[in-house]
Amino acid sequence: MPAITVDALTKEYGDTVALRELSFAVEDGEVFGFLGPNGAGKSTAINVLLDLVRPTAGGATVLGMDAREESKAIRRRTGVLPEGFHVYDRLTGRQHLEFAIESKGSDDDPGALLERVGIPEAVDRKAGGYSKGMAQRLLLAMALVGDPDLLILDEPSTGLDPNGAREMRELIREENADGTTVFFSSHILEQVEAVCDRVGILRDGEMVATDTIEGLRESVGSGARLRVRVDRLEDDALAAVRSLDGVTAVEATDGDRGPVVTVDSTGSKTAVLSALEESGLTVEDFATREASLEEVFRSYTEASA
Amino acid sequence: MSVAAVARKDFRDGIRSRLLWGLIALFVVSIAGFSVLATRNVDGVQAEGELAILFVLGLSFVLAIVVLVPLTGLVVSIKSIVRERELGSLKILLSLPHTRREVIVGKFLGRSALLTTAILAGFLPAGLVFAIRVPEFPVPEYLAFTLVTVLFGIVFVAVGLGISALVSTETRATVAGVGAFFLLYLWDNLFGYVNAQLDLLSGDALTFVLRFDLFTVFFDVLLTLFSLRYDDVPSASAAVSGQLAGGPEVAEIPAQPFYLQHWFALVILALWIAVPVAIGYLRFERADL
Repeated sequence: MPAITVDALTKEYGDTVALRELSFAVEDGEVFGFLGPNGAGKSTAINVLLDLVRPTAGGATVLGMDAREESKAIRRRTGVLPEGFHVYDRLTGRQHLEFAIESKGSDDDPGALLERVGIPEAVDRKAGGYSKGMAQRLLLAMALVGDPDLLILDEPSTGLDPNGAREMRELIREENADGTTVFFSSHILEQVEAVCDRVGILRDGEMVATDTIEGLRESVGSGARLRVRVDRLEDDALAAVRSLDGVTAVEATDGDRGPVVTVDSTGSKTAVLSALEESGLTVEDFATREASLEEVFRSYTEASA
Repeated sequence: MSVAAVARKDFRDGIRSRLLWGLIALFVVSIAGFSVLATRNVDGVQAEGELAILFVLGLSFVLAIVVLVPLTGLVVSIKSIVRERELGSLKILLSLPHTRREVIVGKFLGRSALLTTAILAGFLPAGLVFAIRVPEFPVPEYLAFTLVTVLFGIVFVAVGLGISALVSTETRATVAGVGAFFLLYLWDNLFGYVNAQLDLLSGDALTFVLRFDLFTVFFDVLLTLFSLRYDDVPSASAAVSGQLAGGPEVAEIPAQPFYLQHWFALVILALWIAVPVAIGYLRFERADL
């Protein structure tokens, strides 16, 4: 059974269409990255899952329950880190957690929860004095209350420094290893790339791609770029490389430390090196660079569909 | 569980508000302070109990009932929902397993508890001062008076909460709150004026509408409580007698329709609390947050 199913979900605000017949599913036990630029409709979709926003058409189920009719039961088993939240300035971290613990009827220890998210020292300080990153961690701790079956994290790395973002990813992995399904949104790709089993890319309220990271890379056909430093340049060698399967561009330049052949290829890198050597050149050094997910992402969100 | 959790959270949060502390200080000064002043020279005076309660009904009434209780009721409630909505803490509240109805009811209880705390902070020390300094001080009546004051304030909590659930910005809530404050004061005059112009109602029907004036509700509920103890409390509403302390002629008014008897004020009180909260809830339940 999928942890989340979204079915032909449409949400209009007056003349503005936030979501257009959005459909996707998040499988039980996976980490799903919900990607898209700001304003693509990620938060609107999440708010529908939490029944904060009512759809114009279509619907969603979470943990097999209707998002609209059974919202409370859903939220009892779901940990949520909302986007654009504000803590209760006058309450301490402990009081925030006590509220979540009482609300979920669990018996977690506030101190232990804050330990997990890395701010145990802030337990008795008023949350109004927390930094953005600390507030984010506090909310994450609240989301972990009651050992939820599903975590819904809306832009979880907001306000976190690189170290904090890394800890967040580790925590997501830990929770997932524990059997928790994780659904999180982001407009920053490195965070998604490192932890997600699958990603969905949202643009203008529509899902333009749902795939694994590798699958996405392949689907946009962006291969690797290979830079090979050789002892000398010969036209025969370049021609041999050009004739290889998957090679899209070959360029020869004089680098600081000798001539360089730059090859764009979606095919075998070894074949390129072999072709050069078989033509009698000596390969001094080489480097490859994968198409970054950033480029993949841009190709989806900027190019016309 | 949800309602209690929300109410407790709200109380914990609200009790740390500086504004509330300011209002509590006003209660302490006006009510408890007044009790000290009023009982300073009562030694040797006969019938001090009645005298003191008259003072309470007089001066404290003016200070606390007319201004401070309604103001506090509105202040603790008017932003209770819209502020969380505008800031974003409502997302915390509704990410946890609470329905919107539980949020409304929990907040109503939490904010009512804040108001009660503020009122008792003035009334309990004052009661203690009276009880100690005034021989034969009518303690049950004083407690009834305190209870009715709290209920009266809770009406304003209900109105403020209803507004807070109804609007989508704090500014609108503030404007609506000020409007409600004056509207509730001028209910009698406004309705009387409109009615006189348009000649809508007369007789018992007019009196019935006028009973919804909150100060009338206040006295009628108080009369209802007093009637539990005394047989000579007039059975009709203060709106019927047209005066607060019923004279003998009022007591002899023959059977009024049930909706003009003072006990019916309990129904009107319940309506005053339930209707604003319900209106706010119905709107809040449908809103995109």
